[in-house]
Amino acid sequence: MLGKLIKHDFLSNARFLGPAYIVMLVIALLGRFVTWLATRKAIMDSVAPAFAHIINLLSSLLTVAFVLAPLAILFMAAVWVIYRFYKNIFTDEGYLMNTLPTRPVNLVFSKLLNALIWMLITIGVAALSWFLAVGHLEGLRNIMDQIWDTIVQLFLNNKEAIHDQLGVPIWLFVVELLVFLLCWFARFTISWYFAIAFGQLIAKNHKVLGAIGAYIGLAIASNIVSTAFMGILGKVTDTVASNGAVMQTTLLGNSVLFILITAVLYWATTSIMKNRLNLD
Amino acid sequence: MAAILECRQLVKKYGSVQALNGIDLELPAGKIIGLLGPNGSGKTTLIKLASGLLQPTSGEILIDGMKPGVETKRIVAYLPERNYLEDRMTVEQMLKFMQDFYADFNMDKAREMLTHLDIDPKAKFKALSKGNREKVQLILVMSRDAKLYLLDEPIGGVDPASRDYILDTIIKNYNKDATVILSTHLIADIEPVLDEFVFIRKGDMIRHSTVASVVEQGETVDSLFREVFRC
Repeated sequence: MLGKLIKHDFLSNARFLGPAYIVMLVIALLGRFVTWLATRKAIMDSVAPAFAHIINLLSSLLTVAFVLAPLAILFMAAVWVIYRFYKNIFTDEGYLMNTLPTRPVNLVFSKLLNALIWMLITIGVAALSWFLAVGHLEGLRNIMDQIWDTIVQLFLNNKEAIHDQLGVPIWLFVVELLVFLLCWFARFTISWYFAIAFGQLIAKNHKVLGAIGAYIGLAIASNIVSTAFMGILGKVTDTVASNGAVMQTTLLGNSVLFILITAVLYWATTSIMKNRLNLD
Repeated sequence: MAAILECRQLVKKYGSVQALNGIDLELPAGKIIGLLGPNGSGKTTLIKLASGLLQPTSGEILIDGMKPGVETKRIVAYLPERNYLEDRMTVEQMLKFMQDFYADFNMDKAREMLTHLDIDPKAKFKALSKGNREKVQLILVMSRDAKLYLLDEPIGGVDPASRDYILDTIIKNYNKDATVILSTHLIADIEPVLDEFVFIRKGDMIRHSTVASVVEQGETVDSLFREVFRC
């Protein structure tokens, strides 16, 4: 049942985000074409000055747009995956989803996993559209070379020094960093899910406002917990000598904190869905 | 025959408003039952409690002896009064969705009904009229081989010509051991298909009888309803 939920949620996201991403890639190619036109002196000289001016302007605007586009598309995807949880569970679509023969823990997990999958896809699409619009194969090759050089430097040439700074081998640090980002994303998304579930309890006629209010309240509470936690971590790291140990304590400590917050909010969200669902 | 739906002192409050006032009710399997009452009488609340979308304030509701949960959702086919269809989805995609989640979903039966009602399976829901979306939702429900069908206002939004087909669909497609609970205020339309009826007024159950017992007294459920609920 969980597999089917994940599949259908993926398809549902694809029905909205898929066309949006295709349009974005097409616009990126168009942008590339306009920029190419603008650099062809022979073509620009042969068209009317007003038209050449428009091409130049369009080319500049599209270049700026595609530098900002990755941020915009990431923001759009984040809003979408949060909105989808609300729409699919707490509006009319919830009449279908909440009567499926499955437990709320599965519903929430399928949404959470799809949120992660679609954010990763979005990062890929943002990178691809940026490359299509303003990137160059030569530039890409340079970037890849630089990345490779950095990897060689970090993993092979300066292994010992990096190990001292980070407290662990670089490969383990990369894994820890990825785990940390994953935990942060899970905590961010489930915070919104909880706020949406809680919001429909406190504001029956204004569920969205209720959710935003709940999120603000939760963010304040989370900050207090995080500050207290960092204070405790600070006390611990004061007693350790090396930079690496401080780095490790901070990174792993925060990952554990995010996991704990995620677990508590996951439990709270599914409990509300199970015991206090209010589809009016 | 054992009850498919039981309510014991069932109370539901929305804040300070009491929607159901301690209902005791036992509905048998194998019947088509009308849940009848004016707007705001508590019909939809009762159906939502049975489908697990709401939780009782006190008392309990049992489906086939079980509290609403994953097991009861397997055997209950619920038609809400709301449009739950995702606009971007096609009818065909929705059929596959139902087939994936309900083991008792009969794809052939669903396709046959769509053809009969002249609904294009490739159409997206946003392109369908309100009436056609309601018909699709009914087809999705009646294509299941469920034990209990909960139909909340199944004919409210469709034209009179389609009502006959829909009622015919309900009679033809439900398993003879199953129970169909129909909530509506269009009593004259559904009366011919009913075995039993329940009258609800302001959260109280005021009558539960067989249609035959009313007919024996020379009345109809419709005339009785008008008499009982006269403003």
